[in-house]
Amino acid sequence: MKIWVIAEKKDGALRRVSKELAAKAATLGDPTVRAVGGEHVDPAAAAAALAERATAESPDLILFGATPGGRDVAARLAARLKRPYLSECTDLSVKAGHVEGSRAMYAGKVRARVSAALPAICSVRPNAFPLADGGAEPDVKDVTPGETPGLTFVRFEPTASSTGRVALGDARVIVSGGRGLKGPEAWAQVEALADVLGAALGASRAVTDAGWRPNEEQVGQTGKTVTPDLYIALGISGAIQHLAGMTSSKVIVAVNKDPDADIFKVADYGIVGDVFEFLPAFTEAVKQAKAGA
Amino acid sequence: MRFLVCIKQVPDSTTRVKVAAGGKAIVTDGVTWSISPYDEYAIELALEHKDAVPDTVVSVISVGGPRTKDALRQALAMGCDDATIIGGDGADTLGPLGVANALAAAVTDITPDLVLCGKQASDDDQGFVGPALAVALGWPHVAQVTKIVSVAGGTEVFKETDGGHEVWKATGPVVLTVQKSDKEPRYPSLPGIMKAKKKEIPERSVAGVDDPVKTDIVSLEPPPSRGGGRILKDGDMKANAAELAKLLRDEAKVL
Amino acid sequence: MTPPTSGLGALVLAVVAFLGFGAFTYRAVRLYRYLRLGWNEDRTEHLGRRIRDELVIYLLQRKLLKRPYLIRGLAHAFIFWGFLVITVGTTDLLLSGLVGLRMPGAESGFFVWAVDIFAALVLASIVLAFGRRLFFRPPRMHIALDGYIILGLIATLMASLLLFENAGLAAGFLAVDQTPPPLARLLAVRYPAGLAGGVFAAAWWVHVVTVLGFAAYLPQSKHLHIVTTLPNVFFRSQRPRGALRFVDKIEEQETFGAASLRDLSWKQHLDGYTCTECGRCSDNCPALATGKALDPQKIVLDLRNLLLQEGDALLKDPTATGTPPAHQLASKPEELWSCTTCAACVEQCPVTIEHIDKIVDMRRYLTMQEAAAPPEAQRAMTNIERAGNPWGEAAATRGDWAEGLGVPTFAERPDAEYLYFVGCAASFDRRNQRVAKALATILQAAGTSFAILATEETCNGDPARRMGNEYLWQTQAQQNIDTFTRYKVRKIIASCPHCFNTIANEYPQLGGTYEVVHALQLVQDLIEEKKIALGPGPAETVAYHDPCYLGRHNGIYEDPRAVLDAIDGVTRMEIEPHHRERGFCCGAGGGRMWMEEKVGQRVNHRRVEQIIDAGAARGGQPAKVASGCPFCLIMLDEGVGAKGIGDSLKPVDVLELVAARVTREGATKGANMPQATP
Repeated sequence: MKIWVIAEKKDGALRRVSKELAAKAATLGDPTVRAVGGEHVDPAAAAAALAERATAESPDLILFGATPGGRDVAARLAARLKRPYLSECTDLSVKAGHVEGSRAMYAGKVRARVSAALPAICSVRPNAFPLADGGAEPDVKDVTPGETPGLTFVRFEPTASSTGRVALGDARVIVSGGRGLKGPEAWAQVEALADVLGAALGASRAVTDAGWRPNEEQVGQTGKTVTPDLYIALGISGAIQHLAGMTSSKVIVAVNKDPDADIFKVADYGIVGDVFEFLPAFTEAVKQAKAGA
Repeated sequence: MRFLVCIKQVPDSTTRVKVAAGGKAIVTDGVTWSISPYDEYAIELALEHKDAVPDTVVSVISVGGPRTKDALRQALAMGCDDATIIGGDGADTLGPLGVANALAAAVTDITPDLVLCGKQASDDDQGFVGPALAVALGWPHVAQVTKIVSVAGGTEVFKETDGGHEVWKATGPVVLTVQKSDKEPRYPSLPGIMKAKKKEIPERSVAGVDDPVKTDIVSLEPPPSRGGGRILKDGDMKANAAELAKLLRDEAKVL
Repeated sequence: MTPPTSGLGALVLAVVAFLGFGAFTYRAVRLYRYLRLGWNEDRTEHLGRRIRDELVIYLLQRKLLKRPYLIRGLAHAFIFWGFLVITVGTTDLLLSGLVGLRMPGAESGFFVWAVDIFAALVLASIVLAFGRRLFFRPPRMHIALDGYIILGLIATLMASLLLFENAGLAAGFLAVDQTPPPLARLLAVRYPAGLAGGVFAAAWWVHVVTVLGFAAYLPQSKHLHIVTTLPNVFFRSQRPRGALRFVDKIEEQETFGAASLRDLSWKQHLDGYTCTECGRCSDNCPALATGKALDPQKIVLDLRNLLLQEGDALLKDPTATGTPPAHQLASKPEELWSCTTCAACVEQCPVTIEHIDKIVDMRRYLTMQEAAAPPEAQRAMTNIERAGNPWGEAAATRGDWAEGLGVPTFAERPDAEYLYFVGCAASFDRRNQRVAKALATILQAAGTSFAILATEETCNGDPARRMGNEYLWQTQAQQNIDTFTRYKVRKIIASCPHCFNTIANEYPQLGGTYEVVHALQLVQDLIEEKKIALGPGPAETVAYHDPCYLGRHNGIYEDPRAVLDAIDGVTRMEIEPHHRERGFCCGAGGGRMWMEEKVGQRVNHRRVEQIIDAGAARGGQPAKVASGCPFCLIMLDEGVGAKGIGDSLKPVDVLELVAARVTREGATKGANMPQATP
């Protein structure tokens, strides 16, 4: 079985998810890792270049990382090739000429297993599969895209207060702070944790009202409604005003010194204790967990 | 300029979704249906343009059964100028490429300058139809769009990426798949609601639409129920933090 | 005394009177025509109550004589009563001066005494009023030249009256059989020979010309209230205070809310003419007190000024609509959105101006016509529409709080005596779910037959209505009424004052009439009837916070206090001076619960400060602050959290204190047994 992995690079290096997919592909069949060369390639151009090669080589399964860019090209390519497409899979298996993927539906309220006949295209979420033992870099073959008439890249506009952090509205991981953090100074530690997690920053209304954090970070009834995979609530008591904005998160972690805090009633994991002790300890623990220790 | 916004009716985000017996579908009894959230943002983006440039026409279209008309009426109430439903037998069960083809046929008749979709519908959460529609039309597309600005010779499109926006310029027709932005979809005015109630919604048929690919639901199941979460309260913080990191990585698989 | 109007005098008087009354009439007719630009609201029902109000509020000056305004209220009352008496005297003067007729009784000893005594009291009050303006100016009092002119005119009137009486007496103009004016006689000024007559004539003319000048000046001045208060009190709203005006056949309207001055009723415009700019409404407004743009007095005056500005144009062109009032306000819609509808302004206004109606009419325009409600308010309305609650919690989980408590639903127990209408806060907010559970515990202990609607309940509509979305309110209310009808509900308990107020006072507008009680009223009855007994508990001081929709809107001040007093160990503390009808809002009413509060201090933070201050003044802080409203509870919780005193001052609902001590007295009857329906 011929499997393609369409890899993405960030800052010149392969993204971790691309390596995970390469490792997975090797267990399923005969993998080829390809990447679309160039900067600011629009999805139509990328899909056109890939479609041309795919028509020639007819791979059975094409895997993309479920990054915004990956999903974009994957969908376009699937439509071009008239192949079934499963997006944002968290697990994959192949049997009897079909690929079966696990994925979330209904904004995370349902977990589905979906099957499609090969040849097919899938995008797969990061962390679905382990890296290859030994961590060897896959060999990447570049595909050169053409141009798309009628669409050109003009410029990049960084967000005004950009810290390079992901936007709150669509973040997969959010670290959110409440009044229990006692003051704006605590956010140095919160940011350190967010950096390790690649998380967006959130805050309760009390925090934005007090001016500790900008208003854009407010999560809740009068702020943003978010549905990340992981929501970490630090020193947030769990007033309905806040819960209304985040209870649809997939996994909720709460840290609060008050064991009776209402936030624990919606938490999947909770730590009762001092958030200032928690922050450095957890930041370190995440670093180690991510390193695969 | 004419915008066409493609929308889908889905269970409202406040609705509790239950898996039906058999595990292949959800229970639709008692579900509140509304416009998929990203599609509402797409409508808002078009209407904001209309607010600024009053001769803009915003059309809205959807593929689905009769109750889809409620979603279209909601869009009309918000301020869209006209609505079209693509219905008929099989409209509810059309695959993503079938929907894209049905929409593409309508686009040929409606002749919009820009087509907007939500970046994904919040039922199947695929994000397939927008790019597929662009392919069917032979148009380029831009995803994750939060803003559009008319400029000389075309439209600047703001695509959200980490840390900012890529600005792309479209000189011809283009499909945009819309991301949430700071401007929330508007609540309709009462005159808008009243007018929308009376508006005619012409119907097109899905009959004969090419629907080349299918995927099958093997099983649906609810996520593990919330509450009764694991609370670590005793012991050393360092150990608890390490334990939590491990649980998040290995059990919850979110690290 | 014979007036000095022989010969030409009467003619001069006639000309002056014509000019004075002519100027008054000209202006008054104009004002009346402006007023009639407003739509023709019927305010004639409940005639008996209107007459009673006229007596109590107008004649007895009831609303002026309130803490903390007692002294100035009395001063006003003396001026007012003085005017009533002296106006009779003035009419007599004019009549006798013009045509030589006397008013019946004008020469009686009683009347002569009354005139003089009141003239003195008025003079004293005027001195007080001058002093206040010059030396003890209240912070929010609107000081303008107008006030000084009027005070000056009144002082001149009284001084000239006493002077001509005195001079007339000295000149021997009084018939021997007549009672001499007591004060004038007391002054007993000696005039040089022949001068007394001249002084009498001069003072008399000054008096009469001032009266007529006063009449001419009046319609230009805030003192028009001495004319308009009489009808304004008579035509005051006889709706329950908590009920907003119903919009009938809303689907057939062409515009919604106050799109134009024509869309405010004539009574709203009369309110504008009647405002005396006393500033009591502003004085008590929680939004203004915490630095928001809203000033209730300004809202009333802005509308009046807009009417004066645009009245002519609107009269000339019957199709003209003019500026939408909501956009005419100086700081624009922001003022309107700051209102918590707490009714502190309405409570205090001595001339029964209806501030909330104006604000809501303008909100209705913004929300329904322009779809221009603040984004968070729009979100709350969308949530009510789609999920049946303003937080957007899943409707299917509405009854989850009652799981395992043995609380039946109406579907299970259709013969239950009471419906417990739980409300969104107690259904979904985890803090307030404890209050719902507390009430269930109490009712079960008392053996009260009750059931809930669980997922068949939906938001009563109060937030939508107060955000100006009358249409959504009607939809929500109708849905609940239909459900109540289906289950033949007759008696309803609400633990939320907003649910209580809406169902009790507003659902009748849609034909839904029930016997509605707030939970604390019912619990008070249960205690009194000994259906529950309260066991011993620790000694603690508990401050009581009056929820606006229990207290000011519905006059329920005593029941919650009685319940607190019945709890063993509890010492009730009043949040002086902001309690009972001067209670200070928590900041959540009027839909503010779901809106941002970015300007000034948060209202709930101020409220917590008031509790602390009241505690300090009595020499000991309360351990708890109890209320009977879920929104107050949420707001107070947030407030003590923000102040970092959550450990020492715990916000609770009175029901929780009761439930913690309730013993199953009624258990013998069997908890929650269905009672035979009569």
